[in-house]
Amino acid sequence: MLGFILLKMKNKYKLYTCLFLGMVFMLATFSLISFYGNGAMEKLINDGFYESYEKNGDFPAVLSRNDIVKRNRLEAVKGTVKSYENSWNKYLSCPVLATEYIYTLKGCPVELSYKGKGGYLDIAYIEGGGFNAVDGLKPDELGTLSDDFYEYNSLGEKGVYPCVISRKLMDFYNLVVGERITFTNIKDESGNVLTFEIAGIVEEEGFDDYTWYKSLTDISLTIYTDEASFDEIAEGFNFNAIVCENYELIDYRYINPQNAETILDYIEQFHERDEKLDENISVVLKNYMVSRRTVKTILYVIIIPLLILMIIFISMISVRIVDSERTEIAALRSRGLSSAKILKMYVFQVIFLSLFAYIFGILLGYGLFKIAGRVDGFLSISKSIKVYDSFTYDAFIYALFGACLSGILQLIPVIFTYKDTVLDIKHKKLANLKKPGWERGFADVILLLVSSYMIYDFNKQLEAMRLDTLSGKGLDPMIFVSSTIFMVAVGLLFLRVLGYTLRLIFKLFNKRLKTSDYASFLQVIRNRKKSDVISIFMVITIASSIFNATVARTVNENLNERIRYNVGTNLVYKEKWKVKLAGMVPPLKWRYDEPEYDIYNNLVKEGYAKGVTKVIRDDKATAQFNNKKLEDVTLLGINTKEFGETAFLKDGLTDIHWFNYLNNLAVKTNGVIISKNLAEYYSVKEGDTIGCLRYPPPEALDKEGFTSAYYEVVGIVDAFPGYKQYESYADEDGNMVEKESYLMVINYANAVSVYGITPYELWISTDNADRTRSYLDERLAEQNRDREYYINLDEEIVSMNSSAVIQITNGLFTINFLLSILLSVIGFLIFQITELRDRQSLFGVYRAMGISMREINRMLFIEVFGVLFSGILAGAFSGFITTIFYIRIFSTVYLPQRHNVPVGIYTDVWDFLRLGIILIITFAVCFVIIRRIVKKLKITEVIKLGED
Amino acid sequence: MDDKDVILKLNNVSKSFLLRSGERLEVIDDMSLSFPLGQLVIIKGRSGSGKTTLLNIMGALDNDYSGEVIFDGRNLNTLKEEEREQIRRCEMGFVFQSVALIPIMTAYENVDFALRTVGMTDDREDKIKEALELVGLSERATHYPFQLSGGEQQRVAIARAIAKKPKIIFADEPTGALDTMTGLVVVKLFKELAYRYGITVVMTTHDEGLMDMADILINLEEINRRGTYE
Repeated sequence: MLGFILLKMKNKYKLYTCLFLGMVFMLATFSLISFYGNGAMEKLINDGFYESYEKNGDFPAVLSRNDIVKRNRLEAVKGTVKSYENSWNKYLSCPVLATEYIYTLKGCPVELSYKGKGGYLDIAYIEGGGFNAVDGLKPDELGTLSDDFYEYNSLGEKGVYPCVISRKLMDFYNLVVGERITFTNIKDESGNVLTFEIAGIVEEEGFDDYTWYKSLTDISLTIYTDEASFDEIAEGFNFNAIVCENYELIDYRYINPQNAETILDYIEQFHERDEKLDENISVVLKNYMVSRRTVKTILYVIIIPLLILMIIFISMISVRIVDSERTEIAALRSRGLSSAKILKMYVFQVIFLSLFAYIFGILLGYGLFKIAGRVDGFLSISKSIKVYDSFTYDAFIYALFGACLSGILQLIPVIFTYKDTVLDIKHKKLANLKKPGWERGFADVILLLVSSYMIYDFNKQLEAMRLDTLSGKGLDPMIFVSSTIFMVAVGLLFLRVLGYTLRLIFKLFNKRLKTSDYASFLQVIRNRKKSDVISIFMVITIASSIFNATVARTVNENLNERIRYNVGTNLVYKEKWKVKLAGMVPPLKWRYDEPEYDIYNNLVKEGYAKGVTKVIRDDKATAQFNNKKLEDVTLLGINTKEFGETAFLKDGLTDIHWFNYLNNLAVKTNGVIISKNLAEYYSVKEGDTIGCLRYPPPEALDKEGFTSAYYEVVGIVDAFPGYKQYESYADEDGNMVEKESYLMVINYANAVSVYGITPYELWISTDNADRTRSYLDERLAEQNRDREYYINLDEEIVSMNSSAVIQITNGLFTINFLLSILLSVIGFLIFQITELRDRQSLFGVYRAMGISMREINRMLFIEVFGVLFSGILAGAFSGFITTIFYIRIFSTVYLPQRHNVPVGIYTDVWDFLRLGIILIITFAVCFVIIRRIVKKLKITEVIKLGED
Repeated sequence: MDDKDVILKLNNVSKSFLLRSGERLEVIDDMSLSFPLGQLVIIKGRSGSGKTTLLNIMGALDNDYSGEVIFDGRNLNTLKEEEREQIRRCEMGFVFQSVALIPIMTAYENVDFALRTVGMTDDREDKIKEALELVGLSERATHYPFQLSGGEQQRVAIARAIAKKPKIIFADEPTGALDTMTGLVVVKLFKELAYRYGITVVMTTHDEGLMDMADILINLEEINRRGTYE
């Protein structure tokens, strides 16, 4: 049996090669679902932790407790802490990277030997360590508790305990080494007052020197002593409780799609049993759960149309194979082989092919996953995108399912034909001349009505869909399904109209048609049932390619526009400013020292920037009008001329060009440009006066203080560079909340004169933001200055493109586009070549009848072109119509956040040109191949003159 | 035989095939034949005697031979391919054993197609009806080939061949796939064409029952032995 099957395949190697390719593609696609799905989920989780670190500046996977343990022995307290930690570690099963313990005895106001009365101080023992530079983990360095932390420079006399203090405390209370600190209210049983002598100062290297998870900069008003002293003090000085803070940093890389839900569940159980637990893991995992739904929906709905194409492809090839093997089947039956045995032979054939397709399919699926994982835009691949290339073994199961499906598809035509008699074949030949089933059943009209109703319904619910997507309810898969239905329906309708048109033309002009045109017309019109499969195939491929390309470009470009708007310029750079504080008791006097500006001044001269400008940005300002305050207003202080040269704003976002507003502000020292929503909130108009309050820095510990000034409204705008009107974020319960913010823009000089020198951002216009940023970092480092943050527009765009939802969308659209084009090219070629082979004798008859090769070439051209052209025309028409009706709906679900930049439709003509070029090449190759086949025909052999 | 009565003449025609073994197989060896106008000529011979090869050569389908084939005063061997195509299109008709009707065209359209190939624009409809009537299939004009029986299909093929009024019709085993009665009907039709329209019909067969109907009977095996037939 194997020998017979192999011989069959060898004789029809072109058809079987195409079938095998189709099977490999199908299995690859199924395994891609598993690989890519898992990779995307891993990316979601890791991105979530990374974003948490970026946003909060803290290690993103920390479990902590802050408890008052009513014990006065350190050992007992440590035991309690350890029991909680053991419970965490047992259930979470993630390696612990570092721990930190801070044991504190509540102090009291102190007396200082040199300065007299001091403030309140606590006594602490700190223990634990971090780790350094673990590859791929953020933050990439947490320092260790140094061995010499408790090495005292001097040891006190009996009854006087040694302690070390932080540099911050030293500055705050003006303390020196050797000074004694007396806790006047803390006495032992003998009445001795608790006294410490400062034996050392611990200095951290920089502002964000994470010596420990909670650094000494975070802890104020505390002195530190060693374990033995602490234990002695706790017991000896009648403390009845020790405050314990413990932090456990776990390796979040061990949290993966397989265990994320379990870990979240355990953490929630920990919370239920322990009110004192605090952690920053669950918020990341809850966001992941929300995004996971969205990503899964995207994955399936983009892949499904591709799978449908593959189903059609394999079915088409299988039907062709069975058609061409009817004679062999009949011969086998005439030699006594039963129908069951024939079916068994085909089952064996399917299994044989599936075994090889399985191996190649999984390998190809993994390869496609690698490619898709590197996509950073539609049809754009980058080496720099991180690929989560975990090989998941679920892929074998998915591929097995694909193998079963492709096997069934191959057996269906066998089941329908292996018992056929000659009469059945005759009836089927007649059936082939009838109109296709979908045309007779008006499937195109029905599908169009159904999908049109869906469009109407979706459009009614756009706002609700937007909010659902925002709140993480996931995308409604029916949106994608209905767009595919609509696409097919429009394509079929177009084919119907085209068919009617062709018949009409034939009816009107057939008497005058040339011989070759006459034959071609009839071939195209009457062979519809056979050629419709390839036409529908082409329609779906071309329509979905056009639609997917437009959706992908629209989503990507709109996101890019939003980022450009949000950032406002090429590079925003903020140096870390030191605030100078004075005073002992809050509120403290404060002052900012403006760093040397020469570095920034030289940027343009040195060729690292085209323009630089200072921009004061305060997101915590308060607006005031008629005694009504509005908090958390964004205040910008700008130099109007420089700002206009450095920032950018998309045209059309404001009623008049935004430079006009800058000009108005320039001529009015105390002018203010406000956002439209602020104007509406206060019902103010141009010329009205509005107040602005700014508050001291948090370090000043001044909750009541503010500076206010009043400004005349010189402009009301819908948009402004860097002004994000809408912000959405997840609350504690993981629900998405939308918050609206307001804007006030004043002159920089006025801001300084009213509010004093306060930190500003540098907005830099440059062609290479990365180069400029590196240059600034180096210059600052040379002068021991630090950068607080920077925003690089190019990096933001890359980061957005590599976010899980966008990356997977672009990746899948790209794979979809490439595979569907490949399938349609192969499908079209094989259809035309096998069609020709079926009609070889006919071409022999044509030649025998005296029809020239030129006329036959013309015939072939019209037939091949007719099928291709009708498919292209219907596909293009359907693609564009679907785009018009669905782009707004898709934009709502992909871009649910409200934004100052309205959603626009973007296309790239190169996408269509690429498609067009591929199709033209396909046509040319196909035409050349079949022309060569016909040319090589020997008339006498083909028409079998003589005895058969 | 007077040359003006001869539509087709073969002069010392030979044809051989090169086998895989390197040997040359002489199928037709120095054959000379003449075919008069308006006659039914039956060429008989067993399988492998060269009937089909001879028909290919006479029908300008095969140009690889030695000798001369003069059709209506023109030496086919010296003509260009386009000129041979023209002759086949306008002056010759073919009827094949495998029928070879165009499956997507009705009987009417099959005949129409043949008339289009000769560039006929006027009176096509009349000629189609006449041809179909002649073969007795006027009522089946709108039927597709597989809605017709084998004999009916063969008759449509004859109608297609005769519609353009060729000078000669070549029919290779036209009754091979038909039953005896139907085969007889077909051959009678050929005879009528020959007498009524002066068309020379050259058909091959190995059916002994049809030999008596021939105006001229050529036994290929004998000719190959003797070399000439007149």
